[in-house]
Amino acid sequence: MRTARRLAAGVGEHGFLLAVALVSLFPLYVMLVASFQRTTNLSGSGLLPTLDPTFENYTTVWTEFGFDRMFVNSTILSLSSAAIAVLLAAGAAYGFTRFRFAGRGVLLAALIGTMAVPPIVVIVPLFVMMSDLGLVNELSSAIVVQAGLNIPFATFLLVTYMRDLPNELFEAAEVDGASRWRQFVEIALPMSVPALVTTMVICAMYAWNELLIPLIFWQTEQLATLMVGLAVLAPGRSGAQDIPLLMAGVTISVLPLAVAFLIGRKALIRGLVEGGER
Amino acid sequence: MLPALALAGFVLGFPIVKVLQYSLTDRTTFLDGSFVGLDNYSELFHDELFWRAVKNNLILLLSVPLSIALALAITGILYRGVRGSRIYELVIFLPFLPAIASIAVVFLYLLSDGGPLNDLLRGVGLDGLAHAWLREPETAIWSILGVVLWKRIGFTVLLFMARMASIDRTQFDAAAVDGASWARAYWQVAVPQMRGIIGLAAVLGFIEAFSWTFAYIAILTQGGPDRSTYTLEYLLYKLQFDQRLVGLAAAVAVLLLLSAVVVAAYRVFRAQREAFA
Repeated sequence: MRTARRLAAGVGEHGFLLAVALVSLFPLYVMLVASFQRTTNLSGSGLLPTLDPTFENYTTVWTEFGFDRMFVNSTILSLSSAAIAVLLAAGAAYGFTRFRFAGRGVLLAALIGTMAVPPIVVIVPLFVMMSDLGLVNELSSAIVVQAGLNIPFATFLLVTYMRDLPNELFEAAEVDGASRWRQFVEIALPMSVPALVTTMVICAMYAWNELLIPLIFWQTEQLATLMVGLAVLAPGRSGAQDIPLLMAGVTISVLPLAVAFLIGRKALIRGLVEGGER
Repeated sequence: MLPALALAGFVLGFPIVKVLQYSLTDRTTFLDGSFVGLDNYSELFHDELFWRAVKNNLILLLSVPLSIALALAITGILYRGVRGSRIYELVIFLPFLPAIASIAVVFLYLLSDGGPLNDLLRGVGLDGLAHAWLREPETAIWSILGVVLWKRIGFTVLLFMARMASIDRTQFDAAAVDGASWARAYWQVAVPQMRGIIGLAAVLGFIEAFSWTFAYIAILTQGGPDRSTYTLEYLLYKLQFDQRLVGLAAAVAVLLLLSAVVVAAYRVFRAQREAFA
């Protein structure tokens, strides 16, 4: 009787997990299935994999729909904004953790507080300003804005890490007469490499996934990122014809993230959890 | 650290001051406009679309309690360690990875009239449940809530599992010896210790419901059908970039900023309670 009940509970738990897992997978499955279908062939359900798969959709979106250029633009945006954010944030984190100065706590709290500010709020005046400066549709605009928006998060993540660096090292360097700059470059940075890499990857992921900022600051077709390309393609010509192409495009946009995740899963998850605990 | 603060100030601090200033003018993209006091705000408060947007943000806010409840249940089962726990954990986390924009494009197809979800429903004889999910005013915003929830759960489970890893397992064995069932032990021993991380998940969900709706709306419905799925973010975008009413858009921005103030206030409140507890 008891075992029967336990068995039933076990089956229920498994069933629940299985249902959640299936729901989690279903859209991704549907995406992959459709992306290998022949455009002319998309009839009936998109539920079962086609018996006649083709890779053509991928080559078509890549060469004819400009996804090659968009891929490059997304890469430029995510890597350069992440590099700027991490470099500047490393300096800030070093300052916050190594020096006591008036208003340090308030400043750090204010910086971290801005993480809750909806990006679109600051985009209104930034757009006006970038227009005045003639920087809309220049590479620098979206990169600078994206880097700036990532700085609070990056600083926070690096502060939590640098706080735990052994003080003695810096004190010894101080005795040896090393300047603050040299202590930063020769001690703080090399010792923080794992945290720097994790922070950079997460910032790059966020930038890769961003739609609003490139949509607004990079309005020309030449500068469209993958997310912008998808957003423009999706609702406009949503005739069933284009679905396999579209799904191939989406898959391309997801692939680099999947690769990053597979390579650095442990470090990424730790960074995401710590970054969440802001 | 100065360059970082300078850039953060340039991208975050300065615009917040600017947006407060704009919201009191009838500025457009190309004209500076003049001071109009609180006219923009009163125009918004008399606009039905504004209130619909507020309501939709509140509907999307339901993703917070829903995702926390579901994630608590999932975490409980995973922590106990059923067969294949690690695989389940991985699979459930997957939706977090793709961009909102990518995933929205997939759901646009998935939820379309002749799309896979309806095929599935019709396939199992539930024809009555098939809808043009995103094209009907009654289902559109709820479908978006579903997509938001789908994307949120994995990350919430991730946070909870990370917290569970630091809970002393022997506490459970003690509770189980007492004859309490595992579920009760989880609820009475673990969940109270997870208060902090649950609060965090709530804050992050709250921020998302006000700050990250744009990509969902812009791709899934573009505010439609019949402007029924506008959120504050999307309204702001339309005012600023379609109608070029910068002053009015800035007023929406200031009201959106209140959501950040709520978060900040909650944090201060928590910090104080911890300091005096």
